[in-house]
Amino acid sequence: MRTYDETYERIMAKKAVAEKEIKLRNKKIVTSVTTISCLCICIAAIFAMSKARISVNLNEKESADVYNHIDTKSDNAVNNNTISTTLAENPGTQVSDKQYENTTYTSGTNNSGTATDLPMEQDSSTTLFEPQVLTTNVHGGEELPAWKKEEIEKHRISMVRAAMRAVAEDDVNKINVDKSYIISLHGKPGLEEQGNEYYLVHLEGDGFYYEVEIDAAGTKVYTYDRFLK
Amino acid sequence: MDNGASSYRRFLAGDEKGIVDIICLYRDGLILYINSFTQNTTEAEDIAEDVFLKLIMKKPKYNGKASFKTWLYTIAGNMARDYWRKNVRHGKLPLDSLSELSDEEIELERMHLKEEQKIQLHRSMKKLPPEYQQILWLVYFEGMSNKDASKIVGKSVHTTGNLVYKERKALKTQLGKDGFVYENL
Repeated sequence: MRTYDETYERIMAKKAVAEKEIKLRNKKIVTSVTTISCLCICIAAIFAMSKARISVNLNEKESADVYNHIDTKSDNAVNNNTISTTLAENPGTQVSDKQYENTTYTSGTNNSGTATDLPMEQDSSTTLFEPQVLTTNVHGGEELPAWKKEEIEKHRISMVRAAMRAVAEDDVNKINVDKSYIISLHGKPGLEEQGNEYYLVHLEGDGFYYEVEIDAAGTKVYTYDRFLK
Repeated sequence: MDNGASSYRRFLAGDEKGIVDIICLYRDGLILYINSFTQNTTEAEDIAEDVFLKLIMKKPKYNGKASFKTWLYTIAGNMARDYWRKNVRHGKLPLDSLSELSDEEIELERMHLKEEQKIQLHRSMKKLPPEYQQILWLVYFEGMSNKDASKIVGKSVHTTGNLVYKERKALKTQLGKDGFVYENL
């Protein structure tokens, strides 16, 4: 038979054990809650990221769909590469708008001399490239909606400017206009007949390939060709 | 308000001595009552300690509807019943455990019951089935009314009254067998 003191001591010992267990349990609960919170945050972040990626992909797909649609509808589809080659070999050759949407700009010093003067400052000190809005009628005569034209135009200008900047700074890696557009700078500087040094820059975007000749200083655009993909 | 209630109120107010007073006041009676479930003094002592531990740790609210003693015995009864169920289920306790009194129990009844007549009554009672012992203990040894006892055992007052009557008769018979006559019964 236990004495009163023993009973009291035993109760206090049991109390200490119980308190320790409660503390341990609370600690476990806190750890679990923290882990669950972290997991939730991670899942939310992953979800947000994937949502953003899906959105970008959708935009790209939508853009591609528009051009695929246009391309498919074309009755008079022509081989753009052939036309491009023809243009390169026979500068000045006029190509009908109905055939394809490939506009060539030439600066005053360019000998390809087809159509429009470059709508940029002729002063070599300025690096601005201000091309006119292109005729965005494509083969089949179907016209793009105004908002799409505007969007394409913005990207086109940005791309060309980035290319000019990259040439001026002699750094190919700096060409990065928009994540959704692939831009590459090819080649070495070439010499034109008049002795002007230029870069031939290949750009890609809006469902088109672009071939742009930029002077070695990165201040002028000699030729500007666009081809349907 | 009885002593137990005021001690418990002091304990809830932060006076640790309050619980010591409660332990001193109710420990022996609780052990003997719980022993009618466990038929084992050591286990009865453990359960009684757990009853006090519950007061310390969980600080259950005593609303004063019944006496503090009734309230405390209700808690003890519930814990003892849990123990009994668990151990009967696991085969540790025989359903009709009518064991002989241990030395510890003899010592405890001497300390708590004091009077020889009550001790003899307790010993005769221990020969009855455990469920008889529980109510008889509350009514004859703790001096509780049928109403208070009914609250502790979780039966209606009427059922408890009938049980007390039946158990008293059984106890009288047992006392007669043991060669005693208890006039106050």
